[in-house]
Order: sequence, then structure tokens, then C-alpha cells
Amino acid sequence: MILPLVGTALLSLRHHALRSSLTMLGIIFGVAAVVAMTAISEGARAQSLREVESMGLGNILVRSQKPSTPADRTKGGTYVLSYGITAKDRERIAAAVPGVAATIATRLVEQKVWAGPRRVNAQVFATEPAWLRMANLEMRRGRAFNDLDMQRRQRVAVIGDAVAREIFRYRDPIGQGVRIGDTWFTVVGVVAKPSGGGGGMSGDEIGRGIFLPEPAVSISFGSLNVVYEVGSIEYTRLEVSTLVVALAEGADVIRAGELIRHLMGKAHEKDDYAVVVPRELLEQKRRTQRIFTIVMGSIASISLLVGGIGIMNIMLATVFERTREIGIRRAIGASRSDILAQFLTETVVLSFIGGLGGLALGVGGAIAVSRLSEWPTILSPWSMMLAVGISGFVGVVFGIYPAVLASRMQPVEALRAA
Amino acid sequence: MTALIAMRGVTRAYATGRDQRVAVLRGVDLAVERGEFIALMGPSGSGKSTLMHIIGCLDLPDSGTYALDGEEVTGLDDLRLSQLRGRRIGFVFQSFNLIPELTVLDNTELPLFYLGVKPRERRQRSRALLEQVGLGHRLEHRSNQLSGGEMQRVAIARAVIAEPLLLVADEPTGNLDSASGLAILDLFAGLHARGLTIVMVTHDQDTAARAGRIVRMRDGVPQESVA
Repeated sequence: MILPLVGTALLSLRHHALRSSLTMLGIIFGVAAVVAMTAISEGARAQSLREVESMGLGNILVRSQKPSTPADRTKGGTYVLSYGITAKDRERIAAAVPGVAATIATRLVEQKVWAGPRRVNAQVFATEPAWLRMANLEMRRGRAFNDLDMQRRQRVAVIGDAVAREIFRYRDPIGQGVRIGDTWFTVVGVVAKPSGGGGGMSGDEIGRGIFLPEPAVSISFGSLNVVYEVGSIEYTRLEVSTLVVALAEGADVIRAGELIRHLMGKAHEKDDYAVVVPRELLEQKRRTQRIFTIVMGSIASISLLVGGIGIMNIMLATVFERTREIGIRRAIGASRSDILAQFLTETVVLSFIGGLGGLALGVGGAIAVSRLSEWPTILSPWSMMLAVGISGFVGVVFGIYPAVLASRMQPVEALRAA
Repeated sequence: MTALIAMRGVTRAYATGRDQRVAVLRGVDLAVERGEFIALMGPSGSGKSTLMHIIGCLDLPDSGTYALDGEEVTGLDDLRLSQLRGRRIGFVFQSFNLIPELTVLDNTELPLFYLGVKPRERRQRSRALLEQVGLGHRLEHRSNQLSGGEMQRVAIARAVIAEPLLLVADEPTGNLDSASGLAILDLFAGLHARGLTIVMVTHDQDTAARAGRIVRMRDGVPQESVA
């Protein structure tokens, strides 16, 4: 019984092809908005979750940042700028914050990296074996440096995959030397960032990174960074660039974050550090995401509502225009429910086709958005089914009234219509 | 055996405004036997159209009784009335009342669709019937591509496809030239000869003369006379 009704509906919709397609526009755009919106917001959500999770939800990151340069600083001359997290901070945090499993420091070493006469685009970090473990890096080749390397102050280096490609091309970098500043380090391992983890660094940072054991760095370069500027030499003293505070399983991360902020605030006069609690970030991102979803959801619903009203409007016009047809059908044996089913099917078919069109447009839009803006989008099957389901639902809701009106017409009066 | 149409004291009034009703039928008694061919005549406003609608179960009387083929029609619900219209009654209208989007075949088989007949059988029956009325070459045409005479023949095919007991025709030749009109009346005569009961509303004396009996309506009451 349904199939012939759909056939009848398609026939009558095709008879007014232009009107039918214009009527569908509202639904098409509404559904397209739903599909594209969920694809974009799902993509954004997954990406921001990945970003935050790569910092480690059980970790707290304390970062050094250069305080704004004092305004009365005179150009020229030599001076030492000392800022950032100190070894003392690290000890205090390890001692005072409950649930700390480990504290792991990395320090940015401001030394240039050379491949023969060329400078290599790489950042050098002095760190410790625990950081390599915690960051959960993928060892592409060779090994990580270990506690023995630390004790013996070995000049060994673990390099990121992008750096390895740039310096060594297709040669095996393991056992080769890499020149950092004026000192040669032996490459023992190549790392890449895995899908999760990263210890607070992005995949790009890790690929472009060179990781050295802290003792070897201290004996080679000291703990002062030297920056040459025109007419001046700037020494900066930076003990720790990033301190990762890893908490034991089950520890209260939010509370620990507050405590660390408090400790750091008491020890530092200058604003030369930042405490990042990934778990807080996650909460924040979830909140903004929710607002985004609500806003986009309302826009999509309004557009579906308007689309539905448009369909109802046209269907009402259709019912009145086809009053005579209703009369004829009634005269040859159609019951009220036959007429109701006919018009309801027509509306549902109309909005369902609109829904499919909207789905195509939405999927196309999401793909275009991710191509053009490099936003990631995720097209989940459930959101597509939801969109098409919604369009069918809109058809039923806004089709009922015109269909009931059609079915209530008195046959004799309907036959008299022009 | 009971009459096919048995009406007693049927009245019908229409509201013309607030608290105003115009009585169109004022107590109609009418009996039509199986196999009769009746012409329903009368000036406009005499109630013949209303009577025809009630006979065809498109409308119900305000009071009185109407039994069609022994079944009391007053008090039936919409579904049952619709089934009666589909199974027992065929309609032919002055303005043909075909559905313009549908082909000749689709128009003809539409009553069978509402009776739940399978598509194959619908096709077969409508094809056979259309060939009988001489439209075998027009099956796939849209109905608005036909001449008036052809449209009325499609309408007659549609009216009898469900093999009804009663054919109700409202001025079936009113919109046709005289040649086409005569052809339609010949079709009616043929159907009547095969035992179909026909009630035909007409203005035209010559058309009415083809019927076996003429019922003249005057002021909402039938005045019988034999043709």
C-alpha cells in the first residue's frame, strides 16, 4: 500500500517539478546545515581533544615565558636576563604537591644546528630520559638516551624525523655526528610523534626537535644562553623551559594545578611562567564546544522549521488547488484515510528528497570546508541518518495539517470546485 | 426481491447563512428496480443533483431512509460509504472529471486501486475495458490529450471497471457534440442491455427518451411519469 502511494506522490511532484524543488529548498538548506555543522563540530572536537590529550590529562605543564622587556632597557652593552622556572621551583613542587609521581624538565638551548655550511631549522632541547618515555615518542630508529648517558655525560642526541631527513637525506643517521653550536653530538636515535602523547609538544615541534641529555649540554654550553643582537650581547639564564609534573593515577589534577599556581606565585615576582592544566583546558574546550553546538543547532532547527512551514504552505495551496481531484478520488471509492495517506505521503516524500539533497549538499560542504580551511571534519553515519530522519519527521509534522484538511473535504463540495 | 434503490421520506437541506436553511429535498420516496434505466429531469434548483448525490452515496440524507441493494446507507461511516461507492456505484460526470496528470490506463484503473486489486490484474482489466470502448490506441495518452467524446468514454470505462450495480450519470452528454453524445448514449444502452442499472440526470428531452422511465423533480419532490 505504501509503494503505490509513493509512486503517486512522485508523479504529482514531478508534475510540478519547479514548485516541488523550490519547496524543498528550505529542507535542503536545513539538513545541509545540520550535516555540515555536526561534521565540522565533531572534527573540531576530536582535534581539540587530541591536542589536549597529547599533553597528558594526568599532567600539569609549567612553562617559562620571557617577561616583557623593561621599558628603560638601554640598547647596547652586555647584560644577563634571568627568568623562568628554576630548579628550586621544581624541588618545591615535588615536595609540596600531593600525588606527584615525577617532575620532568626540558630546557630550550639557544644553539644553532649545522649541516656542513648550512643552518638547519631545528630546536635543541636539553632534557632527561624520563621525558622521552613520558612523551611516548615513537622510536623510528636506534634508541633513546638513558641514565648511563646522563651519568657519563655522553654527548649523544635523539633527533626528530624531519631534522633527520634534512641533515642526512637517505643515509642512516645512527652513529653520525651532528654539529650543535661548536660541539659534535652523536645521533643515537630518531623519533617521531605517535598519534597520542607528545609531552606538551606538537608533532611538528618533535619532528624539528633535537633532544640532548642535560649533563652533556651543561658541560658543552653552560646553563646560560647567549643571544647576539646588533650592538649588544644578551645572555639569558633559563634553567627550565618546561616542567612536566606527572601525577600519580587517581590524584586530583585540578587541585594540584591550583597548588602549583600558588607555589609559583609566591616564589616569582615577575610574570615569567605559565601553568597549563590540560584537564582544565579540556573542560573549557568542552564548554565552548557545547555553546557552538547549541548555537549551530538552533540555527539548523530554525532553518528546518522555516523549511517545514514552507512545505506546509505549499501543500495547503496544493490541497486547495487539487480540491476537484480529491472530489473525483472520493467519488470513485477513496476513503478519508486514503486521501490523508496520499497527501501525507506526498509531503514526506517531498521533504525526504529534500533531506537527501541536503545530505549531499552538507557532505559536499563539509568536504569543501576541510579542503579549503584545513579544519578537520568528521562525517559520522549517525549524524547523516539523523539529518535524513529529521527531514522525514519534518514532513510528517508539517504534512499532517494539509492532509487532514484534504481528507475532511466533503465529496460533493470538492466535486463542485473549479 | 428488494428494489436496488429504496428511498423513503428523504430530506436534505443546506445552510445558506446563519440560522438559514434551504430545504432542497422535501420527503423523497423513490424505488428503482434492478436493471432499470431512469432519467432524472427537472428545472435547476429542483433538487435533482442533490438526489443524485444521495443516490450515489456522495451525500447523506438529513432524515428518511435509503437502502441500496438492501443495505441501509444512512448511518454508515466514511470507510463503509467509500467502499460502497467504489464497489457498487459508478459515476459519470458532465465534465468527465478525469485526473489530468494520469494516463488513460491509470485513470481507468484508479477505482480498482482503492479496492486493493493487484497491479497486474488492474492493468489487464482496464486494458480490456478500454479496448471495448474503442480506446485501445489511446492507453498511454494523458487524459487531457483526448477529445471530449474520448474523455467521456474513459470516464465510463472507469465507472464500470469495478463492475458496479448502479451507474449514476450527471448530464453525461451535456459537454459533447451531438454525434459524440449519441455514441455515449449507445454505450449506456449497451451497458443497460447487459443488466446495469442506470440513473441519468439530464435536461434534454431526447436524451431522457432513451431511458425506460422518467422521474421529474419539482420543488424537492419527484413526480413520476412514464416515458
